[in-house]
Amino acid sequence: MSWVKNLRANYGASEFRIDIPSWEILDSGVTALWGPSGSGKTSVFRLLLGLDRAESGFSWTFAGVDLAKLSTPDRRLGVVFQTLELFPHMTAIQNILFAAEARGIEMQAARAHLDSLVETLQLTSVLERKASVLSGGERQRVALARGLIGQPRVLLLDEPFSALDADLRIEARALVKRAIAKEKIPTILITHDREDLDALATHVTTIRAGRLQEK
Amino acid sequence: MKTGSGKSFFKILIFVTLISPLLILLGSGVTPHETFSPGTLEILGFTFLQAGLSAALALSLGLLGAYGLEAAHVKWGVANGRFLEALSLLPNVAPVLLFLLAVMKFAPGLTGLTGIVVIHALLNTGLVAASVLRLFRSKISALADLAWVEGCSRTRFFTRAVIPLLAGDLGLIFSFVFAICFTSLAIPLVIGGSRATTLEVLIWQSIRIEGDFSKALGIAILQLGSILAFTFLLRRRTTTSQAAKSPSSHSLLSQFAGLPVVLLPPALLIISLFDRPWSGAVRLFDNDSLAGELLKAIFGSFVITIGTGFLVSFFMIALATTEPRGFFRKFLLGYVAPSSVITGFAMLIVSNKTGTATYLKICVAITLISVPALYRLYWDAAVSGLRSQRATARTLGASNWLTFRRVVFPQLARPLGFVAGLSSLWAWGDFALSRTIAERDMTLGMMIQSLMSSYRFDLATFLVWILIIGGAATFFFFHFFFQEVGRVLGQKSSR
Repeated sequence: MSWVKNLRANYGASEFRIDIPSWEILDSGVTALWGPSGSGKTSVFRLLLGLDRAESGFSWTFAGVDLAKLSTPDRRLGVVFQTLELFPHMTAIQNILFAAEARGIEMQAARAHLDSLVETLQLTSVLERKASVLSGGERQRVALARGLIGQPRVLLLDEPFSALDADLRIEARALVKRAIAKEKIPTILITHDREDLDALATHVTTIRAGRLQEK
Repeated sequence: MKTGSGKSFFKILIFVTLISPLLILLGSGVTPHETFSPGTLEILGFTFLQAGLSAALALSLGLLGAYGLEAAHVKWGVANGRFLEALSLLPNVAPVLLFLLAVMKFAPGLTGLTGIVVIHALLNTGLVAASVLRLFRSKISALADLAWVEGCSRTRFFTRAVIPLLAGDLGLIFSFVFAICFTSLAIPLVIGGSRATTLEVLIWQSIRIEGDFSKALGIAILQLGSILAFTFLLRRRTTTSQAAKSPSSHSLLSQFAGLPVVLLPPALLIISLFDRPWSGAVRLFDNDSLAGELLKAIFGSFVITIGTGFLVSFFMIALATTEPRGFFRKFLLGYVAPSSVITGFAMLIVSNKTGTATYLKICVAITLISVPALYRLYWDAAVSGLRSQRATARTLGASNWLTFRRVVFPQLARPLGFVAGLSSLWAWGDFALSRTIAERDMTLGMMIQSLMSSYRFDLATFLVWILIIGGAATFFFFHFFFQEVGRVLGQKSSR
């Protein structure tokens, strides 16, 4: 098990506060954090990534390592943002291999892993295309491949299907589920969509007003 | 050095460098005097008067021009409308020398206070019109649709909606133009004559003609204090923007009569370029000594423009690496560079060496003046737009260098080439700042101004063509140079 403890942060004048004394994240499968808009899901996501600063006392123990004490790059997390954030000036394959280069993975190993991801996520036809011209579904799959190729400790997904239309979402959920199962990477899914939970979640935690409510 | 402390170091370095002209003046050991002498205060009053009248006239013409541009968008389509909008900005983007030459040719009697006010206003009409057009689109266009449906007239909509709703924004535009006119040197220097002297010209005369640094410092302090006080007093609340909307076909925000107003200044500028340049060329090549001077001036301008372009690029890259936010970003967005003559004065205090040092001083001075404006107008949007991509790269484990090389620089290469090119274009056309620092005509801009002062307009026009060709060449040099650097850096893998 991986444990998040004392995850707390204030959000300035809005008086909104994240206050999570303890949260268990599964070593395998998908731990989902579900909540309505404004409940603090994305704030938790950014705090876990180290993009926002949590109050002192925060710890995130994973395989004996306290990730909270590490800088963002050193936490070795994979990520798919809600807005996907592909680098628009790069092709799909450059986007994916950027993450491998960032993690210092040998090119040969990265290429082998890439082949596997391309097959799983059905990316063959889009690899040489600029990210700026990809469709929503293609961008989402490229972002997922980029999140996985760096061999992360944990994969974090923030509303990964929200930009897709209803038909594409069903297909995308199936692909994501297959990729996560194949890569065997513990995953944190942040979502407000109950269908995401039904399709992917192994364990669900609810968040309201910055506080967890175990189901 | 840790990343955080490295960024802080860069921020402090940039901050100190930008305000260095002020620090140099204050720490110079020169004792200021004549700050509040009756003569200085009289000129302060005149400076306020000319800047106020210039800004008011520019705002009035610009408002009318915005109606004209909107009418062009509606009638002739977006592409043509945008072309006319860009054309209206030509006097602002082109070196001021070009517009001065046009006015001196076609309206030689336009001098003194009237001349300064009219030229300032015409120069800034396009800028004001384009800014007001943005306000129309983002703040009152939807309201105009509603008013049109309900049968409101154009005049009524102007008095009851445009003015009250945009008062704060128009106040900001007024104060921006006022600040430009208050510290303008080139126009009062050439057009003002002995009676219409502004504080900026008075400082210039104290340095260049009287050699009285104490008096120059005294007046500089008064000028700085005045502009700060004015900026503070004119802080106004603005209304909230809505999503920008395309122009509607009704006439509440469009009026063709405004189009000539906004197109007159660029038309004057362009027509003057075709007024007898060849007779100037013939006269130039008949005069060996003038041709020799020209070659030296072109060389001087070339050195200064390339130097300025690279210095500005260095500044911009340094700014990008600091990821400006919070107070530092607010400072960069709000900071108005010291006037040309104050910056030039500071360079003279630092070193009175001539020769190569003069070129360097001019490059540094133009850079210090250009960077705040370029950051505010172009660079902030380019850098801020990459914030989320940088966060993503960091999350994926990328080092700062990898992020900069593969993500940031390739996407900033185009705007970097643009700002470097624009600063080099300004450097080609500068004469006022260069004249504060240099002892003799060292650049093409200075040479053109000397020819204009002696009414040799045909020669000046021919030299302006050389200036335009040189400006275009360096502009495109920077554009392609940084594009290529960005392409190479972006593609090159570290392994």
